[in-house]
Amino acid sequence: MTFCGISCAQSRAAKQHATLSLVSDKSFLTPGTSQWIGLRFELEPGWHIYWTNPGDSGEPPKVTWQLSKGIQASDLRFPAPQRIADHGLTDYGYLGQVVLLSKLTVPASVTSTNADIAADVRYLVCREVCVPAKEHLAIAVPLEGNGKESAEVGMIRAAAANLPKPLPPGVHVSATLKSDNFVVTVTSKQGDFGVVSDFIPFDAQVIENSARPVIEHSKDMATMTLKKSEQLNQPVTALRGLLIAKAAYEVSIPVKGSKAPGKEGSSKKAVSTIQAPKSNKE
Amino acid sequence: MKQLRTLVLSVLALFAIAAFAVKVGDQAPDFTGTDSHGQTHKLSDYKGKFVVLEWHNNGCPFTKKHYDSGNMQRLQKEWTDKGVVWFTVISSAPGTQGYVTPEQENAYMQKMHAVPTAALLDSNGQIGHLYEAKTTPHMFIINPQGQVIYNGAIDDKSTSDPSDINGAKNYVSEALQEAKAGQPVAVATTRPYGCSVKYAN
Repeated sequence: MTFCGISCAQSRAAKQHATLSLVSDKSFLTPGTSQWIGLRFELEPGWHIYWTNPGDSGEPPKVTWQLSKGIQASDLRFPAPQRIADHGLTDYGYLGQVVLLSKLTVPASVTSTNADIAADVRYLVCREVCVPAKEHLAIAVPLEGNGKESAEVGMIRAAAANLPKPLPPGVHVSATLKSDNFVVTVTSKQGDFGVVSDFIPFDAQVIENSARPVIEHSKDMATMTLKKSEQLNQPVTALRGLLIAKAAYEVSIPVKGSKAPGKEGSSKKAVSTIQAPKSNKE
Repeated sequence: MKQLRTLVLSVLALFAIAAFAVKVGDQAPDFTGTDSHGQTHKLSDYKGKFVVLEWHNNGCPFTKKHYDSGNMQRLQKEWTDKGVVWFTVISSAPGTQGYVTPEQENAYMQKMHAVPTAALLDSNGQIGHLYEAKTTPHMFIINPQGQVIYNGAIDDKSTSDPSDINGAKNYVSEALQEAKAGQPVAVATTRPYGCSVKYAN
């Protein structure tokens, strides 16, 4: 069921595989503050869109904002994706519904009565086949106002609460490269950290996406074996990504014993000067 | 018994696939493919020449990016003019996106002005699995000695947006230029991007 209130712009396209809307948590913007704006995708059953690292195939959504003078939008923030199997490949993305967030910063100097918030969204929606789509979404939000929250406030709050979190204090992570695997150790004295269940990489050429982590648990500790990507051709000093336990935690796991790029490697294999393609992060 | 034999063959096939993961520096696995004109091509018959393999699916937005813009055809023309053998390989299974009959492929190539040496119709996925082709496009380059010298993406802009072609670093052209000049290929392995190859499930 589609729900779209006053601070909400909606568009249907890509042969109805996705319905997009722009949602704001308040019915007004306050100069001198910042607040979330959400880009909601409601997807037809079985269809999916992609995370910032799409995995083995696909492409993340891309947003270009057009905003009233002075207002700035942060990069899109994505919740943790799910693994999606695709003809033997593994992709990272979302089925069902997802809200991507951006933080709007409104300078104190803004004097107009309304702020125009528009987004040009380019995305790929897939189920067996992929369909590229472009959407233009726009809403006009009053500046200042009666202080009322919008009808979508719950959705925005839930999306913000669902964003990856920094690793809590008391949880320690490290990794070593052992032949074709990264062995990650997670130690936690935090009772509510939960059970480590997955690692999803930010970088595209580091971990073999289709090889699910092998995880062994012992008291206060989890050991996770991740298969190195065959496309990894430069030294890795840290594994950047999401560690999934009770929540998704954003981590940069130092790889012990790794040589910084440029230093002499001890490996017999020649370290080539291959550069990884730029990540797809906006 | 027949089921058992099928199972054994399937398991053997899996091992064969795992054993032949194609890495840069490896000898390129040999294959024989049939093109859209019914001619057969054996890779090893092209020893002494550079060979490009281009995985293709005419309905995939990433393939369309490079064909609707004419980028792929330009590369095919440029490099086949310089003596490179270029095989477009179509591994889509019957009933999946990108599967074409020989007539459909010939009509497509004519319409798109595509000029590969040949388009190999690989609907059983044999060549695709042999090379572990993952996406369309996924590009391989084989040198005159029969070694794989490039395995990966067509360029460094992993999007389906044709406006990203201008200014992209084309890995295939760079690798061919370097290899033809007798230099090592600087960027020899990258993550291929695109749609999944539509193998039979």
